[in-house]
Amino acid sequence: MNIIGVTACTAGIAHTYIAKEKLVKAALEMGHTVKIETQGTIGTEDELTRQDVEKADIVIIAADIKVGGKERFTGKKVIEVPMQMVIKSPKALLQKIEEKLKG
Amino acid sequence: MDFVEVLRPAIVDLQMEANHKQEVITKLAELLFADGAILSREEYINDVNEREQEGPTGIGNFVAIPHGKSDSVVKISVAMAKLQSPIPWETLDGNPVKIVFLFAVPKQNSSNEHLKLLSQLAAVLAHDDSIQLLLEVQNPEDIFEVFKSQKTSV
Repeated sequence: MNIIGVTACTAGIAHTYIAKEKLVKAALEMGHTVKIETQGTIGTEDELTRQDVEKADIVIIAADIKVGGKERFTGKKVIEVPMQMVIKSPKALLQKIEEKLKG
Repeated sequence: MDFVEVLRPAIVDLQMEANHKQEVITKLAELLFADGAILSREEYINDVNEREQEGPTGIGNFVAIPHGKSDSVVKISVAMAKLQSPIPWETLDGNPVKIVFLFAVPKQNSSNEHLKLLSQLAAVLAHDDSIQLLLEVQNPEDIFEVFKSQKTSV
């Protein structure tokens, strides 16, 4: 799968980046391509481009707060999950998504 | 720019004796205060505890990352404790906690470079093998090695 996503947490200091790292690691290990945008205290990093969105099979939003720029994903398959789920079991989450996409 | 700029040996305690979460937070805040990273222990601890109310900071794997954005912080820092014996904490996997990283970030005018360093440090904690190494380290220098050696995407 071509996975893109956004992570954001309340303080924007730690969980945002741990979640990104967990998602990227799990996705790569499972043979997917992945790009995750972080919306944290530093600001937005690795911002998803229009091309990123066009190519994506799935958009994962892992956040405890409102994320910015959701309108970019209009028309895409978007799944919103709590931050905790991504940190706790990223692979299980990706497996579930994969199964769902296969229908 | 190096992790040692935010995770300084003076704010690392690899043999902390503590029985509960508040004791760990208080002891680490003491270290931050003595190191000149925060101006007020009380204010900082209050801000940390406010964040604790919002959701679990135990990320599983025996690691907790309490953090406070606080006006009392004057130097972006990460204090670290390894505990002599595991203590209860609100964690994602229900396990107790053996390592605590307490993040101290000013509410305003933060240096982006140091914030970036914090985000990279957090990303290292996403790797099980890094945690395994951190659980084994005996001196502060080895901690920096663990953080330096792990390649992250952040």
